[in-house]
Amino acid sequence: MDTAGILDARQASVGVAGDGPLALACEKPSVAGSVSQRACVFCGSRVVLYPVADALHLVHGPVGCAAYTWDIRGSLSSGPQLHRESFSTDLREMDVVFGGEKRLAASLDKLIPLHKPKAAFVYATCLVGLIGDDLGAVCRKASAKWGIPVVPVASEGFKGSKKDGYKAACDSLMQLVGTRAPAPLDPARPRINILGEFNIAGEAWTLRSYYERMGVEVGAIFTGDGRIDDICGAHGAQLNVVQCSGSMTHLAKAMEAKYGIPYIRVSYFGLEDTAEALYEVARKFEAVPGLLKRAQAVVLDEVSRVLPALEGYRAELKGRKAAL
Amino acid sequence: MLLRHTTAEPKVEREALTINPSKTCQPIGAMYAALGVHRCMPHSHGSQGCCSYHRSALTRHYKEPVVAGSSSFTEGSSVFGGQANLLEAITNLFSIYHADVVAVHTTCLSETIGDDVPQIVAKAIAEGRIPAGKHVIHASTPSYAGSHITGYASMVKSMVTSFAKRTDKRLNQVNLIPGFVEPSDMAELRRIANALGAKTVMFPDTSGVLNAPQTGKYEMYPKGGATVAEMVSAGDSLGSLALGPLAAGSAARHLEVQCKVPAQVLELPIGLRATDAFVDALRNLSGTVVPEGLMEERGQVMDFITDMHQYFHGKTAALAGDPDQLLPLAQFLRDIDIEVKYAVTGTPAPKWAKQMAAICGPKAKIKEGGGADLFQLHQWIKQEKVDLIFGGTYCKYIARDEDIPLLRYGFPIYDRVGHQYFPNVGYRGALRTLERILNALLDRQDRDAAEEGFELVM
Repeated sequence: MDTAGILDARQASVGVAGDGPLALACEKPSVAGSVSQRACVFCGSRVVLYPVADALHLVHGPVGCAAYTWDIRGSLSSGPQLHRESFSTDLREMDVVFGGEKRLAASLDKLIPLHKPKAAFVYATCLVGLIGDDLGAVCRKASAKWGIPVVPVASEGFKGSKKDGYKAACDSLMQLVGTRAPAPLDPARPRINILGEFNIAGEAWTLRSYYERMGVEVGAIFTGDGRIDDICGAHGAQLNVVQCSGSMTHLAKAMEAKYGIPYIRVSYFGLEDTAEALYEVARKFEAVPGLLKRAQAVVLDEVSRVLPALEGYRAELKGRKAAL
Repeated sequence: MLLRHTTAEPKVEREALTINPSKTCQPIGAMYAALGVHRCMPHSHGSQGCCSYHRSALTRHYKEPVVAGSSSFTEGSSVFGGQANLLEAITNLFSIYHADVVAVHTTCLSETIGDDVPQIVAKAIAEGRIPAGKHVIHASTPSYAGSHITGYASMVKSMVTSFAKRTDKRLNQVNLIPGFVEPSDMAELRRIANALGAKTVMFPDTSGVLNAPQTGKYEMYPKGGATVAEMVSAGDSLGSLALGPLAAGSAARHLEVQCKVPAQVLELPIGLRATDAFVDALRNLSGTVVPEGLMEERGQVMDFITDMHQYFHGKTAALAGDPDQLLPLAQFLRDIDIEVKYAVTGTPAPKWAKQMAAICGPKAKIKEGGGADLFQLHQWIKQEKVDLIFGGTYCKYIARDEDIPLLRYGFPIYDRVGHQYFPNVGYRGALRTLERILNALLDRQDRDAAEEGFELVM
């Protein structure tokens, strides 16, 4: 078997349980020449925004960036499926020399009347960052012309890692939040947004059902089964519940700063974390009568279904080791 | 309907836009070709997203772990150049992963900032970063020109320019340079050559790399792949057969100029005629005779066509994919009297479009390059339906919406297996293609038959 050693620059990033405390180094750039699983800024933005199903997602760059991200995550939508198509300005050599702005504007002029999306996201790629196209200007013009939000995403691939792409996506989402009057609040039903849930296998629907059964209204889900109208009116929620904190804490903080919406970080991994997440939300709305009780009822109901099903796995998995 | 937004009209003139592409960018082709070199580590000189995307696309297609390095550009390297990254990468790739060959391809990022890869490699040699007996080869693969086919062609050309040497000794062997086809196809080409008794050198050769058996042990470098010695010896061969003009032609022509090895550029041996041409060319070059076994295989293809022709005749097909594959496939379909109504390839190929028009007839709609995408194909199909679609996995949206059987063909195929094991080339490949076509048509007939018209024997 071929074995690979550990690069010196990576020693601090690998740990084995039992060898002492696991103080893993993280947030370090990849070492050139290492076989890395990591992706680029564009990839980060693309995965965060892609589940918004009624938006046009136009990748401004060479065809590859759009081709490799074409419907590969499988984020599920209960309605529109526009996010599953692949749109690329397919930049060519002459655009690299003379700039791609005209091509971008022409593409938007074709696509918006053709697909009538609720909004458009325009992703920057490495090449666009280098040739210096003014995405903001093209998007503003298209937005004025077609009467929908056309939002640039500053996702030039080389600017950092995937994490920086999450941030760029959050900045783009912030441009939409607050642009539409939210539905009036029902005092008996507190409203939350779910952040960092991408509905890869329908999890957003599961979470929504938990909260609704508790008597909590889910305003917007960022971004699983996402809709532009929900995002635009998301500032009407009273609490942001952040799951994948790496991708969405930036948005939660921005919404807290601008709209005073507090946020909590939760995890839905495993029974205890999920139960704790629901209780934590219930505790945030103490004034609403019966909320905690209803949360307990949801947890009891779910745990009594899931626990017996886990027994078989537990027997098989006991004592097994894992690498992460 | 997943593609409910696609309508038969209006015509969307699109020089400046691709919707649902029927191509991807150059570097992945270069990476795939490099995997056909024994103990080779492909290396992507750009930001790390490109490399991850190419690896995951190939992994999804082959269900095999695809390993490659990246120069991991940062904003700094994009401003100051990627030389330091590539030098460090070369050191790491040899010292940590023990590659014999590192095959560097560029990206739109490193191309646009103007990194001079040959100069950087020369510097790596001067600084002693490349251990004795190890090699770094490179191909320029800007994503904003050509397609994955162009990238493949450039890396294969680089195998020639980096390795092939002419000595005084002529070797009794033929160079086989396959275009962008599956490992199963490459294995089949070798099987045919062996059956003919022709000694061959094939590069690239991804068989045994991307269809390697499960042994319970992970091998970073499986057994397959063309060796450096084989590629060096290609300069002394009797001749080269390039199979697929766009993906393999350039390498064969360079070899002719560089080492005076006569080049013949053939179509990929897909279907009866193209396989005949390949077998004939190989027979002539190597001075061998076609054995009984191959004649039997050919006879079986003929028999299949004769027996089942009534089911093929008058059926219509739409094709999407790579030009080198679609041309002989279209010819094969025409030969069994299936009409090719539409064909698209995102790869720029004006000459191909003319040849396709000649094969498919004046009524066929053929499009290449800009605006030749699956959206265009879908619009055509909405205007007038076909009986079969040939293309990669992304055609399944159209197949589902329009209720047309899809024969998965070409790259990428993410949702089925088989392409890595069973060839499309040669007589065996032709037989497999015939079987798949017939099954698709007859399954449809069975499904759609009224009760009184439902036949047992057919």
